[in-house]
Amino acid sequence: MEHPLSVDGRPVGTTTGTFHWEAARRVLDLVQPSAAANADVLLWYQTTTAILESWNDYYELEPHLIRARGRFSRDAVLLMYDGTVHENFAEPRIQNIRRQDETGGASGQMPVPGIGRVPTGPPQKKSWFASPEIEWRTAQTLYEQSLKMDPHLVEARIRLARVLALQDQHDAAVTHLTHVLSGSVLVPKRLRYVACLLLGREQWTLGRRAEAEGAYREAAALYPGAQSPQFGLSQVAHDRGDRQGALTHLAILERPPMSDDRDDPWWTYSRVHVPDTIELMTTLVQRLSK
Amino acid sequence: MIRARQAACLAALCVSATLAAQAPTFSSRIEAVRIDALVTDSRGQPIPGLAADDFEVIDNGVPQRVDLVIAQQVPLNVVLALDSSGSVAGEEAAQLRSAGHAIIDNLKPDDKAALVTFNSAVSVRASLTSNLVRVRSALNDEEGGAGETSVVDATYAALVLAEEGAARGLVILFTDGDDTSSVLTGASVLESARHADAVVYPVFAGKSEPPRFLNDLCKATGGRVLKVVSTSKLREAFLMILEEFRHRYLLSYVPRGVAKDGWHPLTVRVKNRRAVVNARPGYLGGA
Repeated sequence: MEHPLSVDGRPVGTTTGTFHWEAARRVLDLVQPSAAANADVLLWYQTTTAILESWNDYYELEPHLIRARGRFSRDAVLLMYDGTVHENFAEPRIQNIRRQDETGGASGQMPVPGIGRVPTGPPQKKSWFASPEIEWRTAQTLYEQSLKMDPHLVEARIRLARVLALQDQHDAAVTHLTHVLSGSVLVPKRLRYVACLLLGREQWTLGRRAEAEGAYREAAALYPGAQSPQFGLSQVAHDRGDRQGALTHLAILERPPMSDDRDDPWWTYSRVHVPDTIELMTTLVQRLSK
Repeated sequence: MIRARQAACLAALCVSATLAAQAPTFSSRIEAVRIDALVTDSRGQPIPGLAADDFEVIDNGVPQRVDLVIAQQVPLNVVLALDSSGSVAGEEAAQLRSAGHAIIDNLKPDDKAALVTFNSAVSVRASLTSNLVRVRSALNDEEGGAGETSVVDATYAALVLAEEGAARGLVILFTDGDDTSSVLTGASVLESARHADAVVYPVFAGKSEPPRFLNDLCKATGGRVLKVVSTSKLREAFLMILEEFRHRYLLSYVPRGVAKDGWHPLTVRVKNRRAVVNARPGYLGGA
């Protein structure tokens, strides 16, 4: 929504800034004796961060996380969310906007179909996003800090594995993924699926085809209608010269695209899966109702 | 393009498609290798009229004696792999469909076609078939305009589909963006592409430079990237690809003096003249 801006009574344009977020943050700053020690305020930040993240609204998310982490610098969940923002900043869909910035795109914010809003800036100013390499390193640091605060936060470990893999640290990635999949902590189904896919990918990269196949098979067993594990299995078959086997795994692609049974959690990897946004909102409402 | 796995059917095809003067004596027990090569001058224009003796083919460091097959007589497996993500909608989607129809309209009776579309999901709308009515119908049903871009996964699927039988595999891959949602890595699909038996011609629409993956894909398969500023030029680009592909050189030889198994790096050159040869950089033998 656009709001008119004026200076000394003269219109100077419009802004699409959403002031209510800043208003809410300022109100919460007044919580006594200390906002930074209040569990409800922390839950509010976690919940609203999850909401903005699920909308891919990086324009609002960036200042929101800066304030959240200013108040709760040791919270593992907020650290992980911040890591996810930087992991996503390294992705082509965001990096393409950075390239447009550098070639003189408009400043302000840019609505991007399918990915929400991202901040943009004029080329003479520091870009909102750094290069993929820098963003991966930033995400890695944030995930490592998150795991230091809570070693059982499996999603942070899975995401750490992915950014390590993207930096060609494949053995380290495999170590983290194996830790997730063979550990004693209960791993939610969606996360286990993503971990299996990433492990399959890494084992393939390291030339361990049998291990890759095993990981992809486990992912396929978790979501039998999803196509991502079948791509991995097909590639393993193709690599050993079994074209018919490779084709058989791709038969899943012939199902109608909108079939309900084609749900593939891989397609929503960019969003944080756990804790779920709805779950956080429900908990927040329950807490505030008491 | 290399084919080292279907020696028996390839031998039959090559014999029927080769000029009498150049007829090779294939044995059904010997694995023949086929190289699909585009030869251009310094301005990128195809050079016609070359004979087998004009080519120098080096397999794993060992020069080979090659025969020339008439490429136009070998049927095609054409796989259209088309971007249907959020950025390809409305008029652009209509122009893409029109370009796809132009390809189907210009196929010969022995040719086959398939249609793969991709956004976040990859869909085989029509598997490889000589029933072109089915492919046309699938193209008409394609609306596009939603989701992200799994161009790497789609490329892999198209390559596998195109490999059927002894026909020449051609993948025409259209996208207007970078990959944003594939599960396979670009590097792994490039490895699969080097082992596959198809040539990929990516067509990229946009103001920016084509993604690196597309250029690497061409190096791996011997194709070339076409960049169009507007989707209104797609029909023209697609038809140019088909025309160029039909007039590539098809070299064939039975490897001599090299180990059967493993990766065979290949060098293909034209003797005694300046020419650029676009062919895959090697093949995997013995699989």
